[in-house]
Amino acid sequence: MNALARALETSEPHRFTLEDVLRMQDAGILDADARVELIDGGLVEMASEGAEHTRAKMQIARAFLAQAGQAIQVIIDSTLRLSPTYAPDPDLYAYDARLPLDTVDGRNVGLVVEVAQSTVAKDLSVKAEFYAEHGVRDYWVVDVNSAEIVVHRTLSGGVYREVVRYSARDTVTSLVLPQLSLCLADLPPIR
Amino acid sequence: MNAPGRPAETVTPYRFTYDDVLRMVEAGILAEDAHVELIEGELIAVSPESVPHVRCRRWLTQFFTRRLAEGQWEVNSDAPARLDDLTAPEPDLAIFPSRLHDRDVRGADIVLVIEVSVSSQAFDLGRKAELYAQNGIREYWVVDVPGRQIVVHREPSAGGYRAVQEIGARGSVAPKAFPHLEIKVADLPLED
Repeated sequence: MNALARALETSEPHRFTLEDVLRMQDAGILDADARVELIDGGLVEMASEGAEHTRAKMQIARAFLAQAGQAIQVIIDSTLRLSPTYAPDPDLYAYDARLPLDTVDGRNVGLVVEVAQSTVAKDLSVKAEFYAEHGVRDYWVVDVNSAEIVVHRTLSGGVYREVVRYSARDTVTSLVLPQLSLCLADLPPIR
Repeated sequence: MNAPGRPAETVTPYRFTYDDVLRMVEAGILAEDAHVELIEGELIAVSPESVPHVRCRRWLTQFFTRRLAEGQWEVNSDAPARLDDLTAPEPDLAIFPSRLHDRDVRGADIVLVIEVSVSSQAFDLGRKAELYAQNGIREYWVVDVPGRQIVVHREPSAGGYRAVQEIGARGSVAPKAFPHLEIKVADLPLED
């Protein structure tokens, strides 16, 4: 049966909450080395990272941490709770440090950054969709293959109306946390 | 601009095994009577049974139970069929030899599976049919309640059932395993 026919089926997946997933981890039901995200109540496997991905992520993390100071919290490789059934692990996100971590959600997070090597298509579509739906005001996808930053902004009707590609030499500045800016060409290399 | 459709193939679901599901029930993450089926590692929600569904399922269960020798054939209703580690649907009816323990029953042992479809025809005739065929279930009927017909699937293969026939309101059919047990579609409780 083809994919379209499948898409028309009326079967609904059982939806788990983040609470359920934490209990699964406690009970040892999930593989110890499973890297998973909770997307619309479904557990999804995260693609394993290539070296380029890891390098770029660490370079960006160092740049942000240097700029952040006390006022901004930068979280790397950890869960952002958008809702009880959406808990992705963005590569990086940043928020006003006055907010307690467990209150950070799509609407009050300042910036979400996904670094993409093999997951570009997904990060630009599926992920952009649910970040937009959950009110993330500024969402960047750093495409390490093309050395570009795809910036998603201007939420209207739960969709990003402005999606702009910036090249390696451009400097992109966070809308909400203007202390954070990124210019891929300026990042010192990590060998 | 966000992509209009969701490309399902770019998201890899985490696959649970049937043992994982049992442990979830143990840990209280899933209710014991949770309406779910494990299909290729994914937990699919099953709608709670409607009255027409119960009526039809009961009729079929009684029909076969009364006519098949108790020591010889198990007529299982609503029990999980562990087709493999990742797939354990709960067919409305499954008939297999009694000498086999529930746990040890595999697809090829099951001579007949019946699903009663009130609103789940797309899934029952689609993905489920594929899975039952791939797992070697010899014969698979979908009783389409609103459509007042039985869709009979035979000749399982890796690519699905090779012989699919619709038996309408005036027709009748007997399972290949029990050719003397003829069911007339008109006898089934299919009215509202």
